[in-house]
Amino acid sequence: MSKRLALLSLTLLALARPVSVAGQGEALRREVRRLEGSVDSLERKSAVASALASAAEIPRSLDRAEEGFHPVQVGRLRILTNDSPLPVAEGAALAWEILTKYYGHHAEVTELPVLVIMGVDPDSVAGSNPGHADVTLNWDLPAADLAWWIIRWRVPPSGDASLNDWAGGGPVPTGDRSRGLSRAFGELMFSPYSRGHDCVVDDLAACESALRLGASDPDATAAFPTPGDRRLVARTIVQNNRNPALKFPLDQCIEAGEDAACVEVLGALPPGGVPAIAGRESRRSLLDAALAAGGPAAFDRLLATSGRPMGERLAAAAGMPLADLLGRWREEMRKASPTAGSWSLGSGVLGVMWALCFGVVALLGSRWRAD
Amino acid sequence: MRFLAILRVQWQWSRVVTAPATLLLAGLPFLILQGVTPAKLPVEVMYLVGTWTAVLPALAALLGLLVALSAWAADRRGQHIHALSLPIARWRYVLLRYQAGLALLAFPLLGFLLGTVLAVGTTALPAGLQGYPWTLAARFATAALLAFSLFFAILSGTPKTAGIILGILVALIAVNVGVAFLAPGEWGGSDFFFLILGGPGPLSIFAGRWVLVDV
Repeated sequence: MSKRLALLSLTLLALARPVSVAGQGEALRREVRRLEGSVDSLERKSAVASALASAAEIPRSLDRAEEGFHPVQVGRLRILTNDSPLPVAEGAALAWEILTKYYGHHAEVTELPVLVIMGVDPDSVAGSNPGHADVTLNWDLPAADLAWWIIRWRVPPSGDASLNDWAGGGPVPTGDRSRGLSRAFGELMFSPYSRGHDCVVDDLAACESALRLGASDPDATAAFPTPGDRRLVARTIVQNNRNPALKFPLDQCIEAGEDAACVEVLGALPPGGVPAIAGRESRRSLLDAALAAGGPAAFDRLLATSGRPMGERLAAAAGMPLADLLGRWREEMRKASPTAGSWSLGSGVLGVMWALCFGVVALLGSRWRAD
Repeated sequence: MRFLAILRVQWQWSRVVTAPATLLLAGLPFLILQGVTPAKLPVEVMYLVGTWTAVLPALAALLGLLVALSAWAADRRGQHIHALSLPIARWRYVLLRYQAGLALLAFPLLGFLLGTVLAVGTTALPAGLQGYPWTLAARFATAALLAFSLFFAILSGTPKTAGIILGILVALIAVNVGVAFLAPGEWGGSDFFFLILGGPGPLSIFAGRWVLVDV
């Protein structure tokens, strides 16, 4: 009897196995959606907590004013600083200008906590670690550098979990966009996946897959169109795979090179489990391109379209169709990318000059004299 | 006339270097691009090509060293008797040797240029990548010229001159290490290398990306 039961169980297990991969994939998708909902809920609570904390900061500023700190307020930036030659007012003005240019109206309505800056003598170590300042800086720091310190410490939170998740962190202005564009170009051009390469070379539609600009639950096989791509996905996820149902198709995909098994693996992966084709730099540079193109209200439009696919949101922020935005961004990347051809004529001339210098040194020697 | 005589002697001493180097450097670009097909991803192509990034500057330096060594080989063997017997000033004799060395160095460099142009012209690259044969050949030539001049200067001088050059290098290293030890963080240990390899430094030509193919 027990033998029959065992046989029956084995038969049922064998029948259920192919279904379990897809079934588990669906269960994982549901779990991801549930967790995303929780993250959104926590994000909202975090925003409320930040507002409360900001309100609680106001009496703190008065306390500090009595302790020899004086307040500096520019727009929504509230700073307490000690008496020092550190150009806090100029730095704050510059920082506020950058913040409003990047965040637009959002910066003006977001409550930011008070930032305590202590300027210290650069020639002395005394007071370099006062313990109660948020940031301690040498007082000979130029206003432009100080502005970026302020921005680093007081960035208006977007309160948009899906945006932060997509961009790999909250949106932050950068001083040098070309550096980000150059890194993004390298990331995509030398991506091990064909869609990354296609995005910068010829096919703008490939950028939508590479940067996950479409629906939140995309067709994974469209993002990884070649058998080589799919096999690489399998190789990437096999190290951390905890799903026993995927073990067999993974082995078949990697060891035997069966593309059908690779497709099965891709289909069973939850959206969060699919490897990223483009990294953080590419996404952030596209976000910066959209905000730069869209003008002062771009960030507000980006937040207003929360819940929509990222491509639509970026197009709304930029105030132009997505294809135009991607085309413009790609041109900017190409211009910013360093190439071997960038080795300049000046470098060559410099090398020849040094060679001539060494040649002259040889002529000046005195090993023997014929005259 | 005198130049041709010196060139002939120098050729006899350096042909064991320049002739194989010319053939090797002409064939090297084909070796670099071996396995490159349009079907490959740029990352795969750059992996293949990138492995030569460190080899090419080393080859340029080695070529300069060997040609400089062969330029002085005849004089060292003959204990400078031929040079002393000539009715010309030392600097003119050294200049003739230097010019003859440059003329002989030109053969391998032309071989490399020819190889790069042909190799890139006959290899189909993946979309988005392009060849830089002229840039790489110019860079290689400048580096080889620099290495030749440096080693030629060291080998042409008396032991005293060579000692001074080496002494300056050692002093720079010592100062750099000393300052890095006394004021850590203020002056990093890599500053010396930046001094010679970075910016307008004498060996800056050897730094950077030495690739035949790039975006």
